[in-house]
This record gives sequence, structure tokens and C-alpha cells, in this order.
Amino acid sequence: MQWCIKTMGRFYDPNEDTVIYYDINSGDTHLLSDFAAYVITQFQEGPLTAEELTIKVSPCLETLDFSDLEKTIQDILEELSALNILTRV
Amino acid sequence: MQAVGNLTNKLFHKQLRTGSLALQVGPYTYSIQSDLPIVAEGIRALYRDFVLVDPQNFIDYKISIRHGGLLQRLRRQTQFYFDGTRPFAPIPIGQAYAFLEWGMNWCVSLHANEYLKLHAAVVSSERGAIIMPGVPGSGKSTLCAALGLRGWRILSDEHAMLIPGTVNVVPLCRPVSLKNESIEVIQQFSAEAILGPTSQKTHKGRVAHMKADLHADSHNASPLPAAWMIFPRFCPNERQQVTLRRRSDSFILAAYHSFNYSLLCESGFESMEKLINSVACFDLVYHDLNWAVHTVNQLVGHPDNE
Repeated sequence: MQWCIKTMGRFYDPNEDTVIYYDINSGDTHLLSDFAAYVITQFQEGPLTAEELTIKVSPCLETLDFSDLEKTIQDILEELSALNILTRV
Repeated sequence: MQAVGNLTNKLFHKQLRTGSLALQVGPYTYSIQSDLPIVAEGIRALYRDFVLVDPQNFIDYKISIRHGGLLQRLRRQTQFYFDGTRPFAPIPIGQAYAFLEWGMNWCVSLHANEYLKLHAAVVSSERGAIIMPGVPGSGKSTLCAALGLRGWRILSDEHAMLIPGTVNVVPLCRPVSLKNESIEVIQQFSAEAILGPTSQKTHKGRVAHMKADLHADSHNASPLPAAWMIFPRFCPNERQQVTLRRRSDSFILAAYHSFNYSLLCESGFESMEKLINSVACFDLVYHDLNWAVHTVNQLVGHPDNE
């Protein structure tokens, strides 16, 4: 199963551990973790499966302590879907 | 330019009664019509230094507060009119002045969307403006009034109006709304506070307004750059402190306090980003007004004026 983003929104990243994301489609503004914001940017070039996404983001996770990266990615995808930022295709 | 205070008593009452009393309030013009003595008393006290404009010119907000009919007169009620419409239910005559002020706020809250508007008090010194967003009861108006009485220029008690894409605040100086104990707190804070009529038993409790144009530049319409955003919180049981706020959290809270952030869509996001990126954001918890004023002065490097 693939995930995609309708239109890439706008980010405000003040270099804290949270990022503001403005969803152009809904007009909603979200306070996201910096990692969730990074996940969103990975969809710039098109739809991805959870596995493809995991491979794409894994280089930046070397210093982070994720015991179960795949599960973390899956949880973030579900959360971004619940916020109507990502959709399943 | 003639101000309200220059009118003879007779002419003032005639203009107010006939709706030809028109004032410049920040970038807007209001015409006010009323036959109620309490409204006349309040305007005479709190708007005496406001510049009159020609009522034949375009008026942004035509408002009136008067009896709607015989039944209302018998019930000692009155009615707020905006452009001849009645947006609110009738109110007791004794609350008419507070309602006039709220109605004037409502005009801007609902209709003026050329600016990013935050529900916030704004004060300024030569070092820049401070935007103080807050929900009713947070102590923002009390702090705003106190700062105004200690030399700060009050730009607004209710609306921080930012020119989109800039950090410039457009002044909209009108009387400061004080509620319940804050009325006595401000009277004790400074003998120079000029208060209008007190409205009893409103939905916000006891309400009185303080004359806000206390500074030599109060009626200067030029926008001023914001340099700080302070979120005040009056809390009698907490330790007084000022703490730096994260920008991302401040963005969300400022958007929450905005009247039209969502309405402005992407322009609202861009304007808020510009603002939050440009100002230092703080939380201020206080219960002693002198401490709060001193702390704000120290924070921005403004001298204490006793």
C-alpha cells in the first residue's frame, strides 16, 4: 500500500524539536514533531510505501534511538492520515 | 483639527443625538448616535481628545445605541444598531456604555480583514511594540492600562492589527476595558486613571473603561514595529515569573488568539511566520501589577516611570 500527499504544504521550522505545518488544502495549521515534518517532505516526489519511506529516512535516524523503526514510521503515517495530511492510494 | 473636547456641551449633545458625531479611531471612522445620557457621559470623558471627522464623508462604521421602541423604553432596555441593523439582543440601559464599546470592537473584529488581527493588547515605547494576546480574564487589559499609566503608549486594548507580511502594528487606540476587581486595582495603581461610567451585572461582571490616549502620540496613525510578544496570565496563587516561550508553541497560541488567521489562508500563515520569527516571545505570570510593569520594563530595557 502506498501513501501520498495531495499538495505539499508550508513549513515553519524555528529549529526547535517541533515544526509548524500549514496544510494548503484544508487551511489547517499543525504542530508536528520535527521527524513527522521530515516524513512529510519525503512525499515531495510522489507516493511511497511504508517500506520505501523507511529506507529513505533511515540515514537520518542513525543517531536516534528507535527500537522499532518500521512501527514508528507506520504510527506516523497513521497519524498524518488522521490529520488528513497524507492519504492512502 | 477639532477634537470632541472642543465642542460646546450643547453642540456635542446635538451631534450625538443626530448621529453627526463622527470620530477618527485609528484607520477607521465611526459615527455614533445616541440619546442616552450614560453614553454621552462616557464619550465625553473617554473620547475628548479624539479627532472629529466630517460625517458627510465616508464612514466605516455607523453605530447607534438607542431605544428600539416603546416596549424597550418601558423595560428600560436599549438596542445597539450597526448600519441600521440590530446584531444583538436588547440590553439594560445601565449597560449601554459597555455595550457601545463592545459594539465598536465587534465592528472591527467582524469586518476588518485587511490586517492579521490578534485578540491582544498592544503597547509601545521607542524600543518597539509589545503584543499581549490573552483570553478574557488573563489580565492583559489591566497590564495594558498600567503600562499606559507608566508612560507606555497604548496602541490597542483589543486588536493587534498587523499589516500582512510585516511586523508593523496599526494603532487602534480606544478605551481600555476593565472588569470587576481590575477597576479598583487600576484606580489604586494611579490617581491619573480616567474612568468612564461603570456598567453593572454585564455578562462579564462589572465593567468600566479607562481613557487610553494618554501619550502625546496616541493619535498618530503610523504603524509601529512589534518587537515582543508577551502572553500575560494573572494568577494570584502562582509564583510570578517571566519565561521565554518556544516559537512553535507561540505560533499556535497566537493563531488561536487571532480573529482571522484562518480566513487569511496562506497569507495568514506567512504573516504569522514573519511575526513569530521577528519577535521574542514570553510568558508572564503575575499577581502584583507593580511587579509586572517593572518586569516588562526590565525585559525590554524601558525605564521605570513612577
